[in-house]
Amino acid sequence: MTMHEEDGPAPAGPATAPALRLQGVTKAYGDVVANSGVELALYPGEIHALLGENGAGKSTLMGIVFGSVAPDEGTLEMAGQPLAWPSTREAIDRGIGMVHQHFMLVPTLTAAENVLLNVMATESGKDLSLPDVRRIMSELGDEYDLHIDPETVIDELSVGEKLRLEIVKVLVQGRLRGGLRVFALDEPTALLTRQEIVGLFAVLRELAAAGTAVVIITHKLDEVMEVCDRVTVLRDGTGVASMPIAETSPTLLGGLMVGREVSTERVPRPPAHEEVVLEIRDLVFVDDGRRVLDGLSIDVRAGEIVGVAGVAGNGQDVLAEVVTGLRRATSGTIRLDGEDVSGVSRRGLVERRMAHVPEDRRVDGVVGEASIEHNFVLGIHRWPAFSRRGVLRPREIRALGTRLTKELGVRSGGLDLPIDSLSGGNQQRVILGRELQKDPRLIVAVGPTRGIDIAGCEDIQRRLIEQRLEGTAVLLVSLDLDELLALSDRLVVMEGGRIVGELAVEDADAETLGLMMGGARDTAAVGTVAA
Amino acid sequence: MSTLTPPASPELSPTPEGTEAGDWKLRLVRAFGTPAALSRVLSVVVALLVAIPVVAAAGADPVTAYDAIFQGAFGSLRAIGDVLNRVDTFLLLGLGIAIGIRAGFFNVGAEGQLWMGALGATVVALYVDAPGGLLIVLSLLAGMLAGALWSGLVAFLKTIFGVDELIGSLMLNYVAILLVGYLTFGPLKAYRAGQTDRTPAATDLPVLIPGTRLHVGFVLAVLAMGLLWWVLNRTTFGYELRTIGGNPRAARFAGIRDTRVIAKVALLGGALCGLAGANAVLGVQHVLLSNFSPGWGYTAIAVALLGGMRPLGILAAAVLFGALEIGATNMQYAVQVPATLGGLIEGLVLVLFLASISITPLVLRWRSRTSARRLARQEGGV
Repeated sequence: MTMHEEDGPAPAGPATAPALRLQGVTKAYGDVVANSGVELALYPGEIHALLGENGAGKSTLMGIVFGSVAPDEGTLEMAGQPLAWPSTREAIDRGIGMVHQHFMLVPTLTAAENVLLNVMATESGKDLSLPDVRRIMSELGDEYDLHIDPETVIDELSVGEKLRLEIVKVLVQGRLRGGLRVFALDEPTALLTRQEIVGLFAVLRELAAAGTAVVIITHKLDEVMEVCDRVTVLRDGTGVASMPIAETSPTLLGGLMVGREVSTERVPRPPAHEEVVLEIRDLVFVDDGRRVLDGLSIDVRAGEIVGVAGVAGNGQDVLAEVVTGLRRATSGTIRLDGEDVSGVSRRGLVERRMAHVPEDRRVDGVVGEASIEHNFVLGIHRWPAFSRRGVLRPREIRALGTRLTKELGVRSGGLDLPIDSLSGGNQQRVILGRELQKDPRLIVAVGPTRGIDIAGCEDIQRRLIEQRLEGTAVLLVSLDLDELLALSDRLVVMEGGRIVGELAVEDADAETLGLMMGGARDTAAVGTVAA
Repeated sequence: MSTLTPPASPELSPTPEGTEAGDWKLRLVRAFGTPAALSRVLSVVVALLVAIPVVAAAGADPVTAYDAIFQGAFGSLRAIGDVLNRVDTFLLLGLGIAIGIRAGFFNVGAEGQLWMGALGATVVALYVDAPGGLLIVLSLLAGMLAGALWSGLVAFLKTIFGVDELIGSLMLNYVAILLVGYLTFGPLKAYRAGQTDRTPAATDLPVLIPGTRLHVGFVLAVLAMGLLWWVLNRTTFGYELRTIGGNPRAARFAGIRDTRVIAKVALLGGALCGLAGANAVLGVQHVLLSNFSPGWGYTAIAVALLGGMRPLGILAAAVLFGALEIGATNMQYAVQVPATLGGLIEGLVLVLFLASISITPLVLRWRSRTSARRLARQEGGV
């Protein structure tokens, strides 16, 4: 049997068989291909980084490893032995542990009960009792410096403690079957402080030293450089490289991760107006003791699209919520056309012609069971055009629905059908069409083309650019670098609730952005332009 | 609430092998509009069938018993009048409950609001000095106000102290019932403990049809139904409350002031339930009893659910339940089967209906799936 490494040079890792090896893994959800012919080899004793942008297919791949996702194609080997795809229970029995991005804890149970829950269905854990769990937890606590009171109810744990408990869950699992073979962690550092991250890495190194293959899913370049031995880069569901860390650099990885040619066919645009529409100054938002927004300032001028780039979880979503009046800033000011709107209600902001295309349209943008027509006037239903003295004007609403359906090219079976009957792209067309009815001064768009087919995507981007050309200010928050580069006039990069870089789109390319987003500030001279 | 209405389209997808197998389903569903409407009717029919052995076990001939129920409800003008008076109660209560559910404000306070409405109307009718016609209006308004305040209290506790509306409204029901108990045995006690004096004849709601007890309150209830339909479907308030009920987050995103809308919903719903109480006292009982209601406010939750939270549906459900209750009472005299059979059938209808919400789509889908599997086999699958 040949043991070729994927495309990179031969691993610095041991010459033993990989603890886990995936070959030709393909998984599609409907038309969306999450993984396509992915190869991954994890060796005992190494810390392996699975690097990639949002949507590159990392979590799907790990779901396949852990048995929670069934692949369409591909083979699995553990320690040289070909195996069938496991169920999660089998995966646990085979010594695979996983810490998911979203914690898998039952909030009303205690720490010990959650640990027991994880293993009680497996071969090695079926005879375990709660006192056993408490004993093992305390032993492991001493060993790895991971103490958690077994009697604490999950709801009372901090985020850091919950992560610690997730790790303990996996360690207990390993202890029961005499060792972990693979330990996967999905974005474990996203919510942790620096100190907690250091502690986590120490634990991972100890586990690796004991022979476990550790794999961290991440898109943070500096963490990859800091703690990992080898790295596999995923892009658009395909593995693009696999190599030892020693042979790579943040610049190289940033480029590999983002990869795609930046589309250069930009319509020439007139410069932005002088007039500042949105002025954000020293914005601070503290949540649960964490400074999610940490003294952030942004200006958006009329006729300008400012893109906010950054890895998920660095405060962009909160920024959008604070600007659009869904949350109150802890301190700092937001001015709209010169007026301080920090304390203005959502409704007041709509009256001041702020439009909002929310990130999660199913949750925030539409009332799924209500008719398409209902959703077309959501938020503008009080305008004189659609109601008078509290009485709706059904004929005018119907006319708007008919007109917009035609203008936007929404394909639907009728305005009375629930909007849930439309595709994501068409739902987004409805939302954007409705928001543009506000004749906005400012549009706050969060991931406006996320999960939308290509036609819908182009359509929505074209409309945003049209708005910009007409003099509207646009604040675009997105995780999609292509979208940011295609739409923005200026880009700011957020990390840890702060703006860590700002650049004109002409100076931006995916590699620079990838580097800045990864927080590798001191690794290369990034084109930082003064605010 | 629309969550109770499974979308019609997915279940209607034609079966792969042609329409023959699916035809009866399609025709059945089309006849009733949606699978949910079909479930409602079927659950009533099945409930009546399931109750047959119970009636037989009680020692009566089911055919005679059902006939007695029907005769008891519709056999005479007087019976019809009594049914419609009960419909009045159930319709108003059902509407009051439904508007809350449509806005996602699910409370079980109708019973307490009903009692408070009855109390408010009784107190004004007994102790306010005003000319007859005006006194009727004042008493009805007092009933509505009392119901509205009682329900408003639930919304207040929810928004200010975060008290869950389900718990808050349930507890306030006991408070209302015990308050009436205290008053009818204490300060408002008449010659007999447990009831007030008879309300002045001038405050009796005018009878609509001589020879019956059908009173003006029924007309008020039907008017309220029309008004509520208009409010729900034709006003910004109705639009906003439906939006909140459908997706509270999207409502906030749209700048809808949800706490205000919910407060208004609570007041309006409470007023409707309060009016039901006022109607029952001024129109039928003419006295406030310490056991004024046998739990109509709870039965009406079933009426609202069965009516699909829509005004006309609630009317239909109110007629069904009103006829069952009045008919069953009269049946008791005719065939010595306890009148609680009416309650039993009501309960069965509700349970079967709730079950059918999940079962009907499954049944409809099962057929298409088996035929899909058959097709796959024919094409030479595994």
